Amino acid sequence: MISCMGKVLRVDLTTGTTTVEKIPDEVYEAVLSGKGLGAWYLYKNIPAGADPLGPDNILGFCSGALTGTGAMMTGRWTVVCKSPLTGGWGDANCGGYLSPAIKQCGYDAIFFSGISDKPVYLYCDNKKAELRDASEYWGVDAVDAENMLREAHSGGKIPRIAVIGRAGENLSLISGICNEGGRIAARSGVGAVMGSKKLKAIVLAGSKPIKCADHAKVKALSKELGRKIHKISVPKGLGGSLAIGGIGMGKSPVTLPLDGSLTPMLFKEWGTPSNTPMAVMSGDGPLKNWGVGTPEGGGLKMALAYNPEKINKIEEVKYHCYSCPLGCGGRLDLSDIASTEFYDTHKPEYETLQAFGPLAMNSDLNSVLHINELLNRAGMDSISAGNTVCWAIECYENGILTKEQTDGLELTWGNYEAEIALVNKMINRDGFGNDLADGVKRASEKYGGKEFAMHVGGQEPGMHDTRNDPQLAIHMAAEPAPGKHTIGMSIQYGAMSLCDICSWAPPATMHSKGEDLEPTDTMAYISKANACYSMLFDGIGGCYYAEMMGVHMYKTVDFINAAAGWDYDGDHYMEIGARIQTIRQMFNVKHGYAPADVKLPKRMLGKPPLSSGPLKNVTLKTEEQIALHWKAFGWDEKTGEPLPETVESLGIGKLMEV
Amino acid sequence: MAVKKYPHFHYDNCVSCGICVQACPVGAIDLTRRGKSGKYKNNFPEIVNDRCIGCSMCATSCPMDCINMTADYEG
Amino acid sequence: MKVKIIPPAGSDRSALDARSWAELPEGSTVADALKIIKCSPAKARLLLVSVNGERTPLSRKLHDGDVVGFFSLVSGG
Repeated sequence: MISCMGKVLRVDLTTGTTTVEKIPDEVYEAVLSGKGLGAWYLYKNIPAGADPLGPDNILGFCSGALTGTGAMMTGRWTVVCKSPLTGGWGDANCGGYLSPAIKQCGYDAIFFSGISDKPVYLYCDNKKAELRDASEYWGVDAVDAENMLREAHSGGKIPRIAVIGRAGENLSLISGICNEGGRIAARSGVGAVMGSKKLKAIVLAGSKPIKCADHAKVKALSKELGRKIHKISVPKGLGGSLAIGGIGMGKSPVTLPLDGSLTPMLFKEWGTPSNTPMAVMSGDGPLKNWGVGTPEGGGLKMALAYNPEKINKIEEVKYHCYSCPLGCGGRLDLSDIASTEFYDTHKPEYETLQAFGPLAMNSDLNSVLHINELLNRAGMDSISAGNTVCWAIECYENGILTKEQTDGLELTWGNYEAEIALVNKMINRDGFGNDLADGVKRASEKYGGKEFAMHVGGQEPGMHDTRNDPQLAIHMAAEPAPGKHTIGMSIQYGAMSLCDICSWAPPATMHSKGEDLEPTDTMAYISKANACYSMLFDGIGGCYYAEMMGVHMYKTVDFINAAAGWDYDGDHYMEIGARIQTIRQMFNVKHGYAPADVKLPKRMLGKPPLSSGPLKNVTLKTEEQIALHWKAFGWDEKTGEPLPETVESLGIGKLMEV
Repeated sequence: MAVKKYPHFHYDNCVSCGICVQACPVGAIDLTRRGKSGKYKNNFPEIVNDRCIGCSMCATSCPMDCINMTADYEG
Repeated sequence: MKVKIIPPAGSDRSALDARSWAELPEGSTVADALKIIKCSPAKARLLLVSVNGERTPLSRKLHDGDVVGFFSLVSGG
């Protein structure tokens, strides 16, 4: 595939050797790069029964098939591994600037196996790929370590760096891998895998060219997108009205297909924090550890406490990931905030704000800005950490945890000082924090309060309420990596118009949010199509917010055809998505992860239902719809295991022999 | 002898995507020029040191046609 | 010519097919598209009516394959 490098770097950390491996073109044609290449490589090369924190686990850093071709919004990288958090397939996605740097060193992906006996980092440029001593960086937080490494390798091409913080070094199962001082590949415990290998960082300073079949066409598509996004502007100061919008969304008993082409407005103006006030009012955002509806969760007052205008006021400058014209990120100036010693930080994402804010009944924005920087530096996943902290609070409030057990911390709702102290303990594996540093499943197995432990198959769920979105419930429970909110949801599907590029993708429907929603094949093909499109995006290095704009605004098929010199239609690319998805599930089966054992916690099914707010009285039935989702993929309806005829028809058997 | 050319950035249509920064083989460009694009606070690309070799990778890679190579070195 | 209209809440979808496309005569404008979904011009302006992702005056002529949309609130991650 002309837009890919055709090779990967394999690093054996036990022997300290690096090998360049050629990847046959059939692989790229079948699964592209990114998560597809990662799934293929890991399925082939990780032996069954491998300990996720042992030498046989392989940690992959995968760029995208379109990364570096000039296609806008293809700057994402995907980390792949066997997850120590769930025991099955693990992946985490991130923006920043690492993705093009991987290809500029000459590889589509870098795979690490083995375990180093001393802390090391990988350095790559045009001429070499070598492991270097990382002892002076071990123990340093992710932000400082990245700055030190950048300084140590300055004087030429700007090095792009992925690094773990204390959390990854401490093998916290909810740690991630950081880039650009505030971006993170956070989920699945990928940071712990990197830490277990004593790999502190990768430093990439190559400048090899990345080819593109029809650069003029790719550029024309990018320029058109850039032009439209550049024109977008939002009148200043309207952040508070998002809460009102949320009220409207919450009142609707059905999900509505809406237009995605203007979603850039929200992200350009506020970034993902735009979602917080909406989510508090609409039912999208979980409140008080998923336990109450909007009125008891603080209502409009809580929503406006997270008015993104407050964040815009202290935003120094917008942050754009590589190749993105939107710039949903930002750097904040915290110097006027007395309660934090930090001066600057990346703007927190919605997930972080919601998880430490409304989820904890905490209306103090500044405390969450502080926690965000703590987690950026530690390299810990805010979704998992927030869910775990809120479990502890609910246990304490219910007498399941005593003050003695919490090392004297009064973990009460809204007590942000205790929240901050607990986060520090988790980062340092200090006392009670040690028991929380591996996520809520293990914490609740030790202390009890399992009814308050929100996790799906071991992974804590993103801040989007399944009771508000039955499609999301399917994705969280039935996907090869559970608990993720980025594979699909109704509002995303409704905005994308996949039916206009894929012959079997149903049009978005207006459907009930509640129990009266009957299981249907239509809904199953909707969730299948959403998942396939997400896999496709992870194969090209594409961003979720490009997906969200819809196929008419972000012309995915045209971009791929122009960059690769191919002439395929949407159905072909959606089949690639299905293939990637199936390999991920095959990985699960190979590694003893049983999809049918994964259940949503009762709370997330509305058992018992909330008594107030937009999700009042909502309960969900998911078993039958999950079965239909698996059936749509050609997997066993009862077990979720890919059927042999599906593996055959997708050509996966042959692909594994390549 | 060929006149060495350097990139000249015009920011009217720049979207701060950073493609030029990453295309530069010698790290001569970074997103450090503070400015306002319309109402938005953005950093824009500029030459930040004396390493520019005039290879024009930045100009070729810019999707928005914001960079042209000229003989006038802006410093 | 075929034009896709993704209407805001409360619109009349009867002129749209299952995938939200409508048949409109050549030379139709955005205003004509609003008529067939029974969306008032005032509401359309408030909701920042756009064609192919760009805000547009109601007098703008439509072409085959255009997508008429309105600002909506979708969520982040």
